[in-house]
Amino acid sequence: MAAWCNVSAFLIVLSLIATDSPTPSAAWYKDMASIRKAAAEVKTLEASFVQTRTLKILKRPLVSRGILAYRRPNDLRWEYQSPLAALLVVRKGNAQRLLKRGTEWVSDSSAKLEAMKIVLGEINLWLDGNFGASKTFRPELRPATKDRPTHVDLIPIDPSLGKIVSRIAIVFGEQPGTVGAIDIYEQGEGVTHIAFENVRHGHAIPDERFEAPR
Amino acid sequence: MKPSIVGAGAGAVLLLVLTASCAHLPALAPIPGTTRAAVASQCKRAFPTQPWRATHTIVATLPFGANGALLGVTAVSPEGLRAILLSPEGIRLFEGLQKHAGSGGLTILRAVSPFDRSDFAPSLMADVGHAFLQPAGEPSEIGKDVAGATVCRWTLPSHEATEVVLGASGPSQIRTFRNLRLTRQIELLDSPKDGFFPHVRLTVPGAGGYTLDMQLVDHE
Repeated sequence: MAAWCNVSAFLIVLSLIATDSPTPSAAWYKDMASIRKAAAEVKTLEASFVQTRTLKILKRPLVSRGILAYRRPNDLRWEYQSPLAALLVVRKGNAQRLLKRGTEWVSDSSAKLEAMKIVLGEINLWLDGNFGASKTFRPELRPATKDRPTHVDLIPIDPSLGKIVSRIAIVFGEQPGTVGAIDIYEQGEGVTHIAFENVRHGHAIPDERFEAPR
Repeated sequence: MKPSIVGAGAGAVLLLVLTASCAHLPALAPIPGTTRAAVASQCKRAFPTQPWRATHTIVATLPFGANGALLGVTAVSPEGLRAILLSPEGIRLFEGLQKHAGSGGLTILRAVSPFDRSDFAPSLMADVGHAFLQPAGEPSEIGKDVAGATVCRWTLPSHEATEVVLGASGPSQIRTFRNLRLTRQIELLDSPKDGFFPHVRLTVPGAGGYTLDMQLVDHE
């Protein structure tokens, strides 16, 4: 059985980027330039997240929990703590994906890290709030409605990616420099909702947070 | 007429095929003082009562030191066996439906590369089916195997067999065979809850073999 897929590695990184990109405030909701300017103010960020996946065949959604850390310009940690223990760390542009087998962290060697590096190049644009320069997604800023706060929809440009993810919605948080949630939509089968909690930013984060556990 | 080398080789192959097709797993020794029905009932506890839905984490140990982590959602209903693989981020990478025997075959509803390989879907559905679905009917043999363990054996078409091995406190292992060759070993670990074992470890032996460690997350 082939157990891993570079697409999933790709998407986890997308989630990371999206988390860090926009810095919300009523002043910048109006256009991409304001988003870009606000995003540049975010130097570090840590948060916990709850990921809820709905599926038609499940009465109860599948809930995953984890933590996120980011340090400008491109150090990342995206860690699932339950039910799976899986970790992506990016330090100075070098990405490592690991999973926990028993009590031991082992390399997820099928994660196609070269592909991830390509994506990380794309991500840096987003970290700058520069959605418009993306070659993978077409951004569309959606003003708030009575049902939905202001958010950016990221629409895959490549139709083959669109078959996997129809769009990603980045919903801005109330606190400046944060994102409240990310919704990943699939054609015809539910949505993955990632909600961020306990967001802190602007504090020092040690190097070890962005390195593989020893 | 002098037989050719090729003819002799073909004969040897034919003999091997016939031998394999006629061969059987070693007979199980009778177990004195137990009823067949009682042992069969215990063996059937290896499998959850249908219908059911379950979610597992899956940690795969693959050939050449590769590892991977996934979420698996499986369901058995009157329509058949449905299996979904999700990435940790919740992206649906594979979905297949194996209809019950006599009502159709395998339908692949979604397969993202590399899960779109032609041999992947049948292999996955076979893994899930052997781990969680009781073979049809009653065991064809019940007894002690050569190691002294109590075993229920279902002999299936296509020279396949499934065995459930009983430990001190119930089912401990499922083994599948094809033409006498062990094709899967499924360890049932920890105490079952509502018919589900918290940890199931499936091992496919051989050069291209792999191990799937499946931890139960939820079941309905």
